[in-house]
Amino acid sequence: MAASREEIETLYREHYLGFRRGLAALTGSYEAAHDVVQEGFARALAQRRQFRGDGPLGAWVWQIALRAALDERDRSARWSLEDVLEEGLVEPARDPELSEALRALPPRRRLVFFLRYFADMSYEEIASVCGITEGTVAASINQGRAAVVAALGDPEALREGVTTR
Amino acid sequence: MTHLRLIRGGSRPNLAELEPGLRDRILALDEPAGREDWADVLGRSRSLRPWASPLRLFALLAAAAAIVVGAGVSSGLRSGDGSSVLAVSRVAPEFDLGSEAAVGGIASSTPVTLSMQLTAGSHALYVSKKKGGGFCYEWADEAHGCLLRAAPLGVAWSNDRVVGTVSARQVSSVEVRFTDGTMVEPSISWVARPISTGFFSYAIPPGKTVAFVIATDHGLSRGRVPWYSV
Repeated sequence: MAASREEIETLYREHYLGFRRGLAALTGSYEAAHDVVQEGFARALAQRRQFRGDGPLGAWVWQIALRAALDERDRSARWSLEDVLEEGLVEPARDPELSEALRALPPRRRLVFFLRYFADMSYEEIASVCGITEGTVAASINQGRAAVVAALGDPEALREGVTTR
Repeated sequence: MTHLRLIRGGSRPNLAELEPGLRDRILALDEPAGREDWADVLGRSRSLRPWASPLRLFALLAAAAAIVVGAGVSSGLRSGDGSSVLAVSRVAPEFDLGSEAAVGGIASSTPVTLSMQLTAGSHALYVSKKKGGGFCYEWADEAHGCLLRAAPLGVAWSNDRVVGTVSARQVSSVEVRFTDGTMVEPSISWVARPISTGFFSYAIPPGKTVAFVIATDHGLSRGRVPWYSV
């Protein structure tokens, strides 16, 4: 089963911003992330006959795009997905408290949280990209949310948009 | 309210799971909507599959043959002919700018994976890929710098020379326009991925005054830099 050009184009048009947000964590800027998104989708188009359909198309393209981003960063480096979000946020200075709360999460939980709420991925896509079950994804997300909320302050203060720390 | 509308409209559905305060903080980080040029993706994809076109395959084979022949004929580093695609050779494991270079600090502080020396006209160009991403370059005895990625057009000036870089992905040629209405296209030394940058260094003829430099991609303007006041 190959992916069609139309399917990949639709994915690009509907999820461009999610890809860019997600890949900015690797490239360090949204401008560079745009370039990597395009490179990732270009590779996906060129390799679309290799898509076997054993997972979501979005997850397959994500894996290609992540590889493109890491190729740009350092072709010779060994890497793991957990290592790429060390800063918590692409631009930590814009919300240092949130960045710190994300950094405090265990690496895998931080990655899952990021893919869910910054890259807008489905549970199925996250499971496919990370090589874990959807149940583990759900558990990681719940634990990550609870930890971030606790780090930022009590839920009522969050509701008002005011932190207590 | 704007954020809630976005979520309900489906653009960030996952955020609806979050507590309102946390959701708003994440939404506040959103950058302005960027461009999403699918045509560029298609162009890149075609370049990744040169065998898809018999013409491209022929061109690829011809280029490979030319490189093999060139390597056999010339073991030197300097071609000196000013051609736009120049001899490339690994010259050192370090980004060696030479002991006389005023920018030696770059050499000692910049980890690199590859250094090479090109020649454009009578001027040597040193280019090095940095391990941490990006690259450094130096035109011998002229401009130098380190970039994470080339902008469509970057220009540095002196009274008698204009030096610059262009993104190989976005630019195909450079024009130097003079105040008298004339123009020239300086030769560009192209360096392939991952540097993906074209370098040019043009000596301004005596009596000429530059109005601006413009980078184009097959006729479409990609960047324009006016001559600075001196």
